[in-house]
Amino acid sequence: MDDETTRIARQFIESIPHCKHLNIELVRVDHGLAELLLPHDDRLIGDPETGVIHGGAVFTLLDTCSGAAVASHPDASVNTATMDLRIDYMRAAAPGRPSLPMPSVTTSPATLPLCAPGPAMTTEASQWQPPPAPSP
Amino acid sequence: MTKRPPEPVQVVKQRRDAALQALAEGVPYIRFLGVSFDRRGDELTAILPYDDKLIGNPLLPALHGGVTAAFLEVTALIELGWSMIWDEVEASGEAPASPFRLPKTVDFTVDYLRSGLPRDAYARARVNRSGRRYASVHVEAWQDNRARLFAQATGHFLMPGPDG
Repeated sequence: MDDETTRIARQFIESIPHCKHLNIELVRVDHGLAELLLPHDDRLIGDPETGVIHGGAVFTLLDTCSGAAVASHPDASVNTATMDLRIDYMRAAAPGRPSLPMPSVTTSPATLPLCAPGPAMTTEASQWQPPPAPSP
Repeated sequence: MTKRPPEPVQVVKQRRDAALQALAEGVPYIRFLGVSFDRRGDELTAILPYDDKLIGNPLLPALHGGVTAAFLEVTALIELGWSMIWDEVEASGEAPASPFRLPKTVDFTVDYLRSGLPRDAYARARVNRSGRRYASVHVEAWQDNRARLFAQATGHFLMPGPDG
């Protein structure tokens, strides 16, 4: 997507009050793809012993990212709403490092009979963390 | 053998409230969201007081879906932890030694039934299975009317091992 579209998408994501509260940043967005970043924050810790962030914060990151991916899809309307969201924890988030989800729209839009008008989409997102920088 | 007199009600209440507080207060994210717990006997109701910072859609306005999911997951985890320590608290007459190890979430599935209004939200969880290895918990959240849920979820949790 061009810089102007990305700029508008960034402004939109970063103006969502709860995303602002979590300091979620938009890295890039592109026709059904979105990449967001959640910086580490001690207030988000869910397990004080390990310093791992709470699953609830991960939920917000994945939900926002999925929504951004849907909104950037050429067939989607600007307004999106989450109908259901399932999260599978593969491993604990490493403490002290930022988290990046990578959702993509995996099915083509289909009209949902219960919820007219507008298309329904399924997204699949995975969250990952950049590997730690090699020690000098 | 003489029967022990029942404990004064205030002593019992204080002990249970202290155990519940120890469970929830150690988690920074619960404070970050502003979730608190109302206890009636062993029944817990989680309360999420409304705050502008919880909004995900400023136009409607509506709570962020992530906030709703987080609120449900917090409620499920604390209910599960609470059910794990309840017998010990009642039997030993004191709160369990901290820090208490909470179970770990394996998966969590949320159904968004209605948009979350800019008001206080409430949630209650039910532990449907609690074994040595894993637990399955269902949780419901509502706002103005108990019968009109705005979200529900089911989660599976890995129980902490005997050595933690």
